[in-house]
Amino acid sequence: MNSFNKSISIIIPTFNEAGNIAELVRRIHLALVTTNIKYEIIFIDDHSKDDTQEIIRNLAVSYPIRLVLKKGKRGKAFSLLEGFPLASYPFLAIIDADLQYPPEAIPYMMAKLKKFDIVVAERHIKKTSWIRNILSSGFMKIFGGMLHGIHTDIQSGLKVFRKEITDRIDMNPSQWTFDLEFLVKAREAGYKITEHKIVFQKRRFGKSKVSLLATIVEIGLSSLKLKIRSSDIIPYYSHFGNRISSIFHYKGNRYVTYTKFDKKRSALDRITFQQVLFLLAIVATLIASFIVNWHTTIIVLFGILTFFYFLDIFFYFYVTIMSFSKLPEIKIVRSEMDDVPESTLPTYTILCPLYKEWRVIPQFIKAIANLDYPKNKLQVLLLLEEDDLATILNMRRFDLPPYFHTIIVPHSYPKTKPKACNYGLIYAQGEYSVIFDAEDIPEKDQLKKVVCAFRKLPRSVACIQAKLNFYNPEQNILTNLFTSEYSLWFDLILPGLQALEGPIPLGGTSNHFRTLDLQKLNGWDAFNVTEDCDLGVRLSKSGFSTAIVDSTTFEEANSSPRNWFSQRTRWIKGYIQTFFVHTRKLKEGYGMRESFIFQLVVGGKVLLLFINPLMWIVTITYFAARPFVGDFIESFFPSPVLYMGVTSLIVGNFLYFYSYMIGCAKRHQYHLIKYTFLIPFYWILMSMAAWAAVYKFVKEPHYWSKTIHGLHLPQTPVAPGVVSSRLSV
Amino acid sequence: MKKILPSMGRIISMASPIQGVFLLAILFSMSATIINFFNGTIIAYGDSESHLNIAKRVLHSPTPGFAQLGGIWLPLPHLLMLPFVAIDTLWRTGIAGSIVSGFFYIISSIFIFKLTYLLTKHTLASLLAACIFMVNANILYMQSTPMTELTLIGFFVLSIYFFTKFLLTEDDLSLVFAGLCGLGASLSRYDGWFLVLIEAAILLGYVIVTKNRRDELFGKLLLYATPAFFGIALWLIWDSLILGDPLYFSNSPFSAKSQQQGWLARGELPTYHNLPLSFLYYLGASIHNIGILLGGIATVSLLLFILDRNIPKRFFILLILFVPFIFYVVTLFIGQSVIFIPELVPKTFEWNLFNARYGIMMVAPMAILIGYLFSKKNPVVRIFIVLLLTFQTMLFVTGSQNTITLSDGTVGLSASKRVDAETFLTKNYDSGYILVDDYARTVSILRTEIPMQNVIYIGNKPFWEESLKAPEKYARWIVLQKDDAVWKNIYENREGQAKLFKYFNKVYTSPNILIFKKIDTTAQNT
Repeated sequence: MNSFNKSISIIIPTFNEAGNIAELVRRIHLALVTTNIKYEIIFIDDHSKDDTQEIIRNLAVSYPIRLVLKKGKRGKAFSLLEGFPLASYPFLAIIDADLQYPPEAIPYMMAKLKKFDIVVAERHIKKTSWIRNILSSGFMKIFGGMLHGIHTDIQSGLKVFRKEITDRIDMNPSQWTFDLEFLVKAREAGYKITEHKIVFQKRRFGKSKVSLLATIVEIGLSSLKLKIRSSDIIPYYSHFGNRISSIFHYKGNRYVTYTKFDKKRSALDRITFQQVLFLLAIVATLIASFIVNWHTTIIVLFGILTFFYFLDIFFYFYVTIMSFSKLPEIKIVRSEMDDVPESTLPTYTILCPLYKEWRVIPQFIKAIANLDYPKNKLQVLLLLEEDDLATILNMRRFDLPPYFHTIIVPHSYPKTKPKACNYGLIYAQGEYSVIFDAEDIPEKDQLKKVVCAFRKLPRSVACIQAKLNFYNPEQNILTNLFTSEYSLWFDLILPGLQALEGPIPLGGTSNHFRTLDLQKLNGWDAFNVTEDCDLGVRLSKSGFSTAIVDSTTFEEANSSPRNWFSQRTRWIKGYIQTFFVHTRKLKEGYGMRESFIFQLVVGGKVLLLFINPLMWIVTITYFAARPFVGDFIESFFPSPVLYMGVTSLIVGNFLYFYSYMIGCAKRHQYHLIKYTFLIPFYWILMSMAAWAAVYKFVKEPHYWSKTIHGLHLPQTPVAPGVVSSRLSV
Repeated sequence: MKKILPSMGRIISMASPIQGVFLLAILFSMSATIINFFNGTIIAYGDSESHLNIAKRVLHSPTPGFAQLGGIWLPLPHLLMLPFVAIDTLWRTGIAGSIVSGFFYIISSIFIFKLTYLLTKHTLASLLAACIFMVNANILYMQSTPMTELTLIGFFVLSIYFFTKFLLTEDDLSLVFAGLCGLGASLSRYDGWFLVLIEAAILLGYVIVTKNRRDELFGKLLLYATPAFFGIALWLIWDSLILGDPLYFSNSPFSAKSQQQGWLARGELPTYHNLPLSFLYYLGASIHNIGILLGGIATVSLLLFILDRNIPKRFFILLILFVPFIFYVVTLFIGQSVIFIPELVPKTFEWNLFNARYGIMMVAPMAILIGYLFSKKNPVVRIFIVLLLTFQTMLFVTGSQNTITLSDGTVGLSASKRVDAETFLTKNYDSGYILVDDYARTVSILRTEIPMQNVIYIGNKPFWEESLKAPEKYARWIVLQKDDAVWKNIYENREGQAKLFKYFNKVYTSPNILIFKKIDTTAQNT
């Protein structure tokens, strides 16, 4: 044993253990002194009526012993909780005073703390009654193993562990339920548990205080309670300072977010217990109603879905009209920009998170260098990931301008873009900040336009979103369709939403902020894989608004179907996350109107992806097999539902489809209009991605499936068309 | 009085010309509708009642639903009437249709003003054009009726306004609206199909001629054509799915083409394969509708417009303004439509007035052309035009010039028949289903107070088919008109006739119409 663990506080709860105390102390002393371990024993006596206290006081003359008379509730668990704060040493042992557990095991268990955080004495050979053995192992399997995945001797009365665990976790046990709660919560706090085999002896003196059956019931109930409660977020050494306070454990995983953003409002938890209950209630109602009258249930279900579809169509139609009639996007003309003296331009921070995409760096450097903005007022932060060695090494090859700075984001989880941005925000010194992706090429006057826009807009505008579009629409059919989708979203829908003054799901890049506002909002939710969408909603909830400026950032359209599918799956997963996050408290920070818009824009957009295929299948089946299933299908559509459905199908699908054309026309991408006839196939792909997103939402909610960039480069070494003209520095 | 006049002046000066046109249009529309209501001429046309009934049956029928829209007449006017025909009084009086026509009358008036202004940049000229349209007696009559002409005129004026705006400015949004209004037109009347075809052809011409912007212009063509032809595609699909033939509207025995075949067989289709006569008939119908005086000045305006090189793209603009003219001349020529006007129809013909209302489509284009002439800075011409408009209006008001659309609906072949059987049914109908061949327009359901949900006609499968085999199954009343479907299937069928007399009593007899009422077995037994 080395000097790693040389001191330990042993907490021993006692109640009428006069016959065992002296021998226990003697054996502890012998075991620890011979192994050069400094120790203290803290007895917590729970109102013993025999000589226990007297014996302890006598022993304290010769041994490092403290006797604490129990003040709080009776019971072993409460004795332990009273004892922990009194411990002086970094390691703790708890041991029953009945001499059934061998104190000689403590040095061996301490040795295991080099690799583990908690060592549980596993009762390998039990010299106790067979009934007790069966009940005990059955208990472990059901409540420990099956319910909580802890396969160790949970109720063992001897445990050795780090004292910091008791500082970090909040315990709320009943009389006999300390052990399971302690182990479950310690594991959630990221601590590793192992066991050490011991021989469990028969009690020699005194009586057991445990009523076996009552204890099992109590522990069982407590185990179930532990299972259904929401897990604790366990801060990591909160006294270490602000920056580190963003480190915490949750369900056993260590996370670093670099923000003080309230985790309870983040997507850390994919869905709350109340939301689960609500969903279960819906499913249960549906099942019950299906059993009672399946036909009527399907009619009602179709009615609800059709009504929603119908509502969504009119909402989108209205949004489109608003984008034309109110012309909400902010237009800044050249003369306005020229009127701003260069000396009065604010400092600007550009955050560019990069991960395994060093190939597009030269393009990015050129694009930023090409910006019409005084370079001495620019701070470009390239946020590289610690585990992305290729990018870090290749970065040295590039001759970065002096206003470019590389920052290595330490490797940690969640491994997401918003986490990297939060890290970058710590270093941001500009009055304004903007996010650009590495493959982005903003229009050269974008920063000046945004500065002018911020100056002429009310203070409540905290974010200005530039439009996004693609520089490689011609690469293949997928990029054609993707571009038309972006034109629809950024040129029609978002300006329309701005006109409605509702929450705007921000685009992933080119959203400009006053840095102070962003810091006040605590940056991004590191767990949300569409952090942009979430931030847009949070802005609205905080009383801020977002404006769309008439300036475009050109990006790379995903040209690989697999890559597109993975990106789309992430986006939809993020929308699902955002929907559940912002429906935890429906009225929080929202008026009815904003809430309605949020439901339709974020929830509706996703829900439609699931409804669409169902409606198409029903329609196609109806017309393809009308003689066989016509009457059957018709029976599910009473007149009002049928009319809404038919209108949605014809008018709705036409309007959705035609709006893509209008989006292309508004952006003067006339050559893309012909491809929009293929949009129904694109919708099918989107619906497939939606199902994959649900799966991912359940399995890996925070996983950021990285989109591969630079696929346009082999074909077109320098970005074509609009890009090449913009790149001339 | 001294106080009132300046305030009125202030109100007038505050109102924009468009607001003025809007208010005047409402005033004229309501006045004309009220007059026609009291004159009992709102549903003078036989087709008026049919339009109302089609809309009504979607909501109230033994088999209600969209299928009641049928496959011959285009559905949009009927769909627009739905909220109004739901109220029985509005359906029976025809006001359900007047509201729709009146709405498009107001829209047309405003956009005639806007289109004229777009071409002339002259407010007074634009007001004059709108006024020519608004005070036209034929327009005022037709906007009071459930006929579909005003719906088409509304979409037509809207579409050509936006299309012209696009031609002059290349504004894409205008093209989108032109396409969407074209969609409305193509779902209102078949004339609308020709409109979108011509507008698309103009765009296609641009694509072919302009080589350096071909991609862009082709995109614009798609931007226009997608909504513009969507309605046509939907209609073909509808006819195919519901009636089993995408061209049912043309091939059906109830279609205009089939009816024209009847005229041809009788040798009473003078325009068939005769281009000059086709031209003359439609010109005559147009002049009748706008009025002889204004028709003359419109012809002069047309010539000046053609020669005016200051108007960009004037030939394209003229082409779309004259879409109705070309459409009707062509359809008259190929025998797809028929027009009878008294001055041109040979005296040997049984009828000399039929479908003269088709000429109403040219009132708006001619009003715009006269507005154009007015915009020329010649005070004499302006005074002359104002005087002509005044005289023309007086001619219509005094009856010196016939309101031909009204005559066609009251005394022409388009007029609905009023038969004595209607009076009988109004007095005696009590309850139960009534079997009647409504396509043959045997009796007016509107005038007989029979609830539409009790009327069994050919569109009520399976009620109709089963009733022809077993008349007693559903019907309490059966109306037979000589040679109509009920007559042929029941009265001329031995088995049918036997059942008819077994289960029904003949309660009304006239030379052409018989009415049967089911024998009340309960009463007999007691």
